[in-house]
Amino acid sequence: MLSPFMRGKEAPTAARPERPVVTVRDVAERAGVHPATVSRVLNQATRHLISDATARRVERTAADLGYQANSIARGLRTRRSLTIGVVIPDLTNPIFPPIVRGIEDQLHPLNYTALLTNTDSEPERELRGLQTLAARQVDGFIVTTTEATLPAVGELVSDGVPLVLINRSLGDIAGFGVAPDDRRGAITAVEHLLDLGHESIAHVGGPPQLAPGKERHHGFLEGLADRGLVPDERLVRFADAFTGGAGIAPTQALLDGEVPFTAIFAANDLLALDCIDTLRAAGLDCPRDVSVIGFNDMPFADRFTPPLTTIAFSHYDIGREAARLLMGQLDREDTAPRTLVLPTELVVRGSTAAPRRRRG
Amino acid sequence: MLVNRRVADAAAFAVTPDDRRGAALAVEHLVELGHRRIAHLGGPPELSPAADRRLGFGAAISAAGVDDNPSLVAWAETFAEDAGIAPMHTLLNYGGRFTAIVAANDMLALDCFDALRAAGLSCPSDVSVIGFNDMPFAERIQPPLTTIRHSPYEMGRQAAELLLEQLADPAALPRTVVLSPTLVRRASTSAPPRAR
Repeated sequence: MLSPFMRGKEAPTAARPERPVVTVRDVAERAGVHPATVSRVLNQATRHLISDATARRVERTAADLGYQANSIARGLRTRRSLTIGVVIPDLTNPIFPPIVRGIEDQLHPLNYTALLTNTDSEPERELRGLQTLAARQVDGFIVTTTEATLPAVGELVSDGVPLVLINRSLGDIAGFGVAPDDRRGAITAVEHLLDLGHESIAHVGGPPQLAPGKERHHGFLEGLADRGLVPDERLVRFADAFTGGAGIAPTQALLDGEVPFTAIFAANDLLALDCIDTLRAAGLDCPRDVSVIGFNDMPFADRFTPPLTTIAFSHYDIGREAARLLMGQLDREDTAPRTLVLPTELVVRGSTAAPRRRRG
Repeated sequence: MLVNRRVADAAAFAVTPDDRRGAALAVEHLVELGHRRIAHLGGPPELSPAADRRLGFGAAISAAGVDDNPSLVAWAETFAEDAGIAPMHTLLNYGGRFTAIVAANDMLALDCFDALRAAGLSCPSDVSVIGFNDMPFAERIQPPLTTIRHSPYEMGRQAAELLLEQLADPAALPRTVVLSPTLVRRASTSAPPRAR
């Protein structure tokens, strides 16, 4: 049997004397129940949730198959730790908690645990996070990194380490990824503003060294070009980060520039909130004077003043699909590297309206 | 090492906000605004923050010379959004009259907003609402939420410190660190309507 870290390479000539791993899935299949049911039965804390007859059947099946529930013993036998390393920029960014929940909800029935580390998108912390988690024998990774760290990620992938990249492009690396359709979402945002009658649209972009920043910027340009409009580069300003506060300087730069505009497409919702605040500080009302559209549909976007028009996608699904792709690699069933692109959707709320007049 | 949870006999290391004091601050704020009929939307009572906030609520209500009326208290099954809708329905339809609500956390306070709106009541002109936690973006939601602030970041930091201490000294005596909360006044609380 190949070790999970040897997948894709030549099999060792002398196979380790190992019994085949009996998984929760195997027990579930044989007993004719869902894997989650097996987990519940085998966990003393949750066994009572399952009917006695089913619980006894699952226990018998597990014993027959030689299922070993003790993860340490199993880890020794199979060289699996049943842990997954999750490397993300910042859990306090509200898009990440639902992603992490999606990951955990998918892992939990399979008895896997996620080990989480925050990097603030600092390349050396990303690298350290990957190394630290690898030293703890994680079975695979789910990561969101800067482009600077992609070579290290690529090395892991070519070493056969199960890995899924989320919200980022792998570029030339043939690996697994999950991301929203950033470009299509940005085009949709621009189309919405054009349909409302806006002719001069600004973009507060995310950091261009991060794939979502780059992709959404490209989508912005493409959306304008699709309608035969020539983008004015003086109406594009990039934020240093995707975090709250980073959108103030670029919005102020737009206001201080000589080109008037009636709408802003912000590369995420936190930047959109900065746009609205900066406009307000300049005596401009959103949406009366300037419309603002964000990206993400973050928690509470519907409760803000004004309620935020945005591009929505399911962060929970990003996490769940990433974990699903990772499990496929761990089971050595899924060997076709690909990026899953999840659809986005326009959510119209109160921060966009028809232009009142041209500013300037 | 417990975080945001407490065990009764203090036999474990724990870091929590002062939940009783926080709930009392909420009641004192409402009493100061002139409210006397104050309801409590509690969290799941088997969790220590919910139980402690309920106790702090009751103690402060009594201290203000108002009866701690059980018909003005309802419990949510979880601390998550939407869990407050059903108990709010109970309070509005079967509870006593009230002009203010102390919600056991900010997510439940959002449910108060929604349930009040659905009942044709507005916050804060008809009913004031105060939350607990000062969660991110509480100042941006409509109406900006008056709440009790504590520092989850500090709670995490101190928990890690206590854990390292236990690792260094297995004989270290268990203790509970209690962090002081503060009132954050925003727009979801105001004086009660004159006649209701």
